[in-house]
Amino acid sequence: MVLCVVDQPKAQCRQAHAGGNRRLPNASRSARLGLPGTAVDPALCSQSGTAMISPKDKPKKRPPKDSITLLPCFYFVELPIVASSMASLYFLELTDVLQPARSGFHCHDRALSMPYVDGGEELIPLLMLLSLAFAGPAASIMLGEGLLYCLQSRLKTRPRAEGSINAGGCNFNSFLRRTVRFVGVQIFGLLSTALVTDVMQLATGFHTPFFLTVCKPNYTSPGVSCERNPYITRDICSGRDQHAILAARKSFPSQHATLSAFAAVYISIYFNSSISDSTRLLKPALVLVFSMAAALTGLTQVTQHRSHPVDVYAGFLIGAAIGARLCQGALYAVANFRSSPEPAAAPRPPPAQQPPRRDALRALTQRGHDSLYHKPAGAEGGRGGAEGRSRQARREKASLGSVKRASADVELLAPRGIMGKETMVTFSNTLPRAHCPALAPPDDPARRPLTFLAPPPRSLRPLVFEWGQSSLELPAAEGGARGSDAGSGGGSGGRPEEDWGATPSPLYPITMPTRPVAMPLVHLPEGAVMSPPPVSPKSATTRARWLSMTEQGGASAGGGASGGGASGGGASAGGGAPGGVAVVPGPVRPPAQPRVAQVIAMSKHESRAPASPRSSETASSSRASSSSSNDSVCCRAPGVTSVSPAPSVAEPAQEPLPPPPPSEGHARHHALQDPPAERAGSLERALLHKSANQL
Amino acid sequence: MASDNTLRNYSIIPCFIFVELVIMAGTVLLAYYFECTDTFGVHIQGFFCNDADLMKPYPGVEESSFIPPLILYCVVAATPTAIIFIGEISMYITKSTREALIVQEKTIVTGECCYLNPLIRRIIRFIGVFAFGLFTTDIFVNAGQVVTGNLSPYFLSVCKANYTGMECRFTHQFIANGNICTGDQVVVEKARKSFPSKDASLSVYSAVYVTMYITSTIKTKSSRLAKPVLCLGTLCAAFLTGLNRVSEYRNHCSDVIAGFILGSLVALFLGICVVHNFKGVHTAPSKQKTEEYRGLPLMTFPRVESPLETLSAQNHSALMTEVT
Repeated sequence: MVLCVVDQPKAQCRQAHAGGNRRLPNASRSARLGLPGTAVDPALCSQSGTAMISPKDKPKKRPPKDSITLLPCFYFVELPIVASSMASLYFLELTDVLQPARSGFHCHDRALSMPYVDGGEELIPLLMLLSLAFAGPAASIMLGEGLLYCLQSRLKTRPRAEGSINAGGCNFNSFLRRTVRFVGVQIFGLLSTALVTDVMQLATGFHTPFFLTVCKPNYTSPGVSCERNPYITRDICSGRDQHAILAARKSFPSQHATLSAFAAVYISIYFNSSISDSTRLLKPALVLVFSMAAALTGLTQVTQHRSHPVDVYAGFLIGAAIGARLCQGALYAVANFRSSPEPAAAPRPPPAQQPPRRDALRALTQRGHDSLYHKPAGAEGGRGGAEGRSRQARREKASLGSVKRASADVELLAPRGIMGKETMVTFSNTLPRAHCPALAPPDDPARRPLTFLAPPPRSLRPLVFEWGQSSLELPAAEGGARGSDAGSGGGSGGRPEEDWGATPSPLYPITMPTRPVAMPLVHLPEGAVMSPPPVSPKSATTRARWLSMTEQGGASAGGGASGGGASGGGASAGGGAPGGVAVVPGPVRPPAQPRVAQVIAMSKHESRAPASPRSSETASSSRASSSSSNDSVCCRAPGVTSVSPAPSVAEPAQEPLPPPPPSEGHARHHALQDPPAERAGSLERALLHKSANQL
Repeated sequence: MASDNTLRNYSIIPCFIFVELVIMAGTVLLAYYFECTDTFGVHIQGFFCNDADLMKPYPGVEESSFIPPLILYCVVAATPTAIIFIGEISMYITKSTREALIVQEKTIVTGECCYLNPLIRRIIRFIGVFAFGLFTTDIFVNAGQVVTGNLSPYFLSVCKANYTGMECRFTHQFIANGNICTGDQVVVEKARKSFPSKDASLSVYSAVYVTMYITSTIKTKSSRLAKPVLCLGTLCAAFLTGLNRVSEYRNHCSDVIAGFILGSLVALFLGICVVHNFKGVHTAPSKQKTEEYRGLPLMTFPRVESPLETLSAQNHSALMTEVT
């Protein structure tokens, strides 16, 4: 029951946090409901949830944007504009508030003597035209957007063109937004086209071809003489149908032509931009169907003698221009929007901004180098034996030079990719949440140089493995010459190195596949060297050999505590995978070169510096999230962490008491082995923490 | 390198069969109904009494024209097809253009057996779009003729209108009831289809299409005049075809101009928006790929790491000699 009660809040949290922005209301609502088992403290929920769940949700689903101005802008700007244009269109079109301009005509003008087709017999009345010009493109746009939305959500082929927007408590997804935008722009365009056409008709006042038919001019009225002046400017109409006469005064441009051309061009541009090129004929077929409908609509006006051909052509031009302008504007709005929410399109920091990174890395390397330089001789002499200090320093300096150059190269070559961010996020996810202090923000400038990710090409992995096979004498040398190392090496000393080795990309070891002697200079991750074939760790013989070796090492020089640590490590490794350094698949050779062994021991000491339970834990957890998690070395059970206190008993004897800055091996690991920033940061932090503990 | 240019695509054949062929078949069927049947009755247009514009002499049947329709249709359909064929094959044979072509276009592998190499794809695409545009232009022209019912210049000479019972005293008297013809019905029906001119639109369509193809694909550095001569020759032939219609009193001038505009608009739309100036389809994505180069993680270009590795390897070999 306790478990249930404990588990329930977590589930609640997860449920609540999956909702993105509305997590707190959800949590508090469930708390208010007071159901048994669902009594969740919202604070607790948010506390633990922000650490563990929100970063997990982030890469999967982009949270919808919040917009304050969307709805007010829509209500108070766009709707009034549309409403006012609609009202003015009504006054212009259906009432006779404004009279068209008076223009004259010739006596018995043949172009104006066409028969009058009454409004009822018209092929396409104005209202039908309006509804068609509205309904055809709008239905097509809705259909197209619906199909697009379904395809995008089904296939997930490309990133959604637009994100969702939260406004006023409603969630407007991309389908709704795009549809409303395109249809709204189309409505506005139709209204404005009709307005422009009406205004032009009223301003020009040209006569339609049926003007003289409905006007029935009285040529015998006083003051009018067709013989003297055939151009008549006076109003001599004697026709009864005032409405028809009024309509006959509005000719240029043709209303039908403008509206149909607008609709056709609008929908054509929409199709042209939204239909992909995989089908060659679908787009032109649709476009040509719409444009043919528009052309025929305009031509019926000519054949029914309601407009001159010139009016229709001018109407085509005007409508096409307005349609092209508006649809391009709407499409540009989409294009402009598309660039903003995508983090991938964000501009990378130019190379000019990178010097601080390099400086930080250099400082870190320098610090590590200095610490090694001024290390008390006792610490080294205890393990290093009679190795001269000058030689050590010289070696370190030389290797440091190479490190510097190499790291600079790495910085220059490695852009900060998205991958780095993602790795960081997943890494922070897999961190042990219980005792880990608050993570440093990933964009801490001091740690940024460590964020680059340089996994080796896959073709090089076999090389690494081969080298690991070929340098088999190394672990044997360790086993022999380790002395006091061996005990802790099983428990804690070997662990971080091994964890390092499990990083998917040992960039450095690739460079020297045939010279294992140079290994102490690079502080090669031993896990990479010793990563056994996937079968071997499970075999009992290997484990037995390993156990015997650790026992032997522990018995040779290590104390009781260290031996216990080793055995503990062995026991823990028995669960998942062998944890010690001595996991060697092949036959173990006797130690060949004492100096090599010595150097290796020294390197082991240096790289054991960061060995604290926390760092090993983080490293292992990071490895669990990495791609090579099914590797045998990586399968270390979390139970290993339980053994970690043991080496901490043995370790203070070896470590200098003043807070040790990160040793050079550590720094070089940072620089060269492309750890994600989190790991490096946590290692460093762990190191400091451990030194504080020792103090 | 060869595998770089192949693209596995299983949707191209179903897309071709179920979308393109259906659209094409619908277009051809509609054109057939317009051309060969009288499914769509022509609009009966009225005319003025003794309209001088419609009283040109009858030039005889279409086959007696200077450019018979059969020859015109054959030339209009065959010339661009032949030019595209020759151009594509010569581009594919020529080594330099072939490499550029292969960069633009990928070989598509669909299923197990079918390899569609760039040559076949381009030929099918360009000729198919051309044929589609030809039929579409024909449909446009026929629809315009049927809907407007504009009268050809020789209408009144073949109509032999019976003006009895009409007051035809004034020349501005409009006769809305056009069914007063006493002439040959077939010829009168033919005379009612004038706007726009079919010959003009078809010839201009194919001429503009061929011109766009030539200007955008054939790049001859040696001869400066071959390309303009070819292009302007075809355009001039189309123009003269249209003018011939006017000079033979078969169409009004406005019909021919409308046909010119219609044909060139269809050709421009198809050439620019559908086949994208006869360029390959894969040029745009490759450009995007190069733009995204900086944002990619390092894993995608492993070659970058090699200088670093060689450098460090050198350092280590040097150090090695120093240590041992």
